[in-house]
Amino acid sequence: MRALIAGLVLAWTTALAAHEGHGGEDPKAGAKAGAHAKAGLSIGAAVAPDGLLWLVGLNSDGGLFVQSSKDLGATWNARQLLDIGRDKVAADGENRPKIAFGPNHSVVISYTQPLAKPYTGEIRMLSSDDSGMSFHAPVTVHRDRQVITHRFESLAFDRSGVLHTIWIDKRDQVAADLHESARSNKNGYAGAAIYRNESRDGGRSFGPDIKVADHSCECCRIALAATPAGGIAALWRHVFAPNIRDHAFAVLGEEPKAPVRASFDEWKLDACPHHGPGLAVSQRGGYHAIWFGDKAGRAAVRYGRLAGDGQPQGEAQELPDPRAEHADVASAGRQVAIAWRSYDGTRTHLRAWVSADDGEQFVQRELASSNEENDHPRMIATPERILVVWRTAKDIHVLPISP
Amino acid sequence: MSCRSRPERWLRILLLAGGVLVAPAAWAAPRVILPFVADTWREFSLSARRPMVVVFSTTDCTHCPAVIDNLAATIRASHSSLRLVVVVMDGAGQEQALRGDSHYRKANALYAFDGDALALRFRVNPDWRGVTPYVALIPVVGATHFYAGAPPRDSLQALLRIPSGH
Repeated sequence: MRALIAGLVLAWTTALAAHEGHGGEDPKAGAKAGAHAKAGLSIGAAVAPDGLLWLVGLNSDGGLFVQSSKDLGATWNARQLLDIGRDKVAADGENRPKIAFGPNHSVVISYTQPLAKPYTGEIRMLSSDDSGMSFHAPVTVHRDRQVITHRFESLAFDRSGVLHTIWIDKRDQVAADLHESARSNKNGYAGAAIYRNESRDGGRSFGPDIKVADHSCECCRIALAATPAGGIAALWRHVFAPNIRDHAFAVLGEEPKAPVRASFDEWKLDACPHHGPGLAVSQRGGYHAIWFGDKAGRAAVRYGRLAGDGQPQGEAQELPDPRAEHADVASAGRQVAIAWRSYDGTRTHLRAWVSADDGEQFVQRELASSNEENDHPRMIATPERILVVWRTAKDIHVLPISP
Repeated sequence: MSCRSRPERWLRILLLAGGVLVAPAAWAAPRVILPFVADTWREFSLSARRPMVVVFSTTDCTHCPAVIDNLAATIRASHSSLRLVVVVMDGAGQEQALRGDSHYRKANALYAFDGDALALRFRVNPDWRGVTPYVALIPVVGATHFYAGAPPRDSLQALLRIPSGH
């Protein structure tokens, strides 16, 4: 017992010295006490033209893999590890690898590579022209190569086969800071900016970086949805003056001079919500949207309808779960499904709100639960069905949702 | 969820208590990144002998550095015994980067989440949906107050006026 106490006191003294900074420099000290590193669970998923469900994520060693299933997740083909050289991949929550299928057997996989400097990154892309049998070496998507934020990319092919990539970019904030520093003006540039580009050869080369909007939020995913005309619409968390973190909408290639405000929670916040929106087309025109926000002191995930130009239609509704977080939405014809996760202190529940009449009425479903660490739910819509894909530490859950 | 042996748990409690008993002679950077596990939040509350400000951050939280800097400057200017603790939620495995970050150096202690982030977040506050910086003001006596973003000046000043050990 004495030995134990003596040992503890010695350990305490030593550790305290390091802990409070009175000990000698020991660059390896953190290795003993540090938290255990682990690969992120965040995945991207999509259904290929031949009906195979594909997902992309990190294995336990941090390697980027793809995997496919011909029976919607009942069985999976062997994981295919992708050669990304020395790239690191962000795969944590809102930042996740993505996969998309285009025409002529093209497949693209994107990810954000964090750079050495804090809060920076670049968006990288692998492309395949043989339906994912092999991939070309990764390339950087954007032309701007400053060591700054280029993160939280989203991507989608439009109906004509053009690949659209959209991301959060801080080049304008950096430029504004330099300019203001030179003029001793400290007003600052609120948030970041949304940029995009296009690829007409399946992700092998890219057009110029195009600014979509100034003053986006810095840390939330961007939602994309197909427009009825075959284009791509985007919804992102924006910083409306002075610091209101509501949402903005634009159809890519048709951006208005000022982004259309799509939500009016009036959430005044100088912080990072880490909680981006979801968007899906509505059969009767316009869009279904979900987002997280604080409205009059009430934090909730809300569902709202948007007109074709992104203007809100009617009152937004709170999801019927006060602990709902990281919801996603998808539609297939008149079917609409919203899935979210909800933690009760012991287990995470995967729940859904499902509509058979294009969002007029919803019923709640319990889809799954887990006591394992888990990712945000990802929704996939095909013309026939809606799927939710949910990765937990040990499993990939693929759950068809029908009204 | 991480399981810890009893000696390790006691060591961490002693570390925490030690951090309270020994007032910092000078502002000193943490050299060890401690694991923030299931019991850490409860231990913060149980073993605090002086008030604490805990800032939950992430490596991609662009608002966090300014909040940490301002809190550190305010605490230093007040000559208070208030402890500034930073918890980097996605900092596991990034010890070298964390130690090299000038903002984190201003904390008295630096932690990284070690375990299921969802569960750890719930332990801190079930209503917290992951916004960062998420700031907890922990008095020695009384309720902890949480803020998304910088805490109101009045709340921080009230905590700074509480004498240690009170």
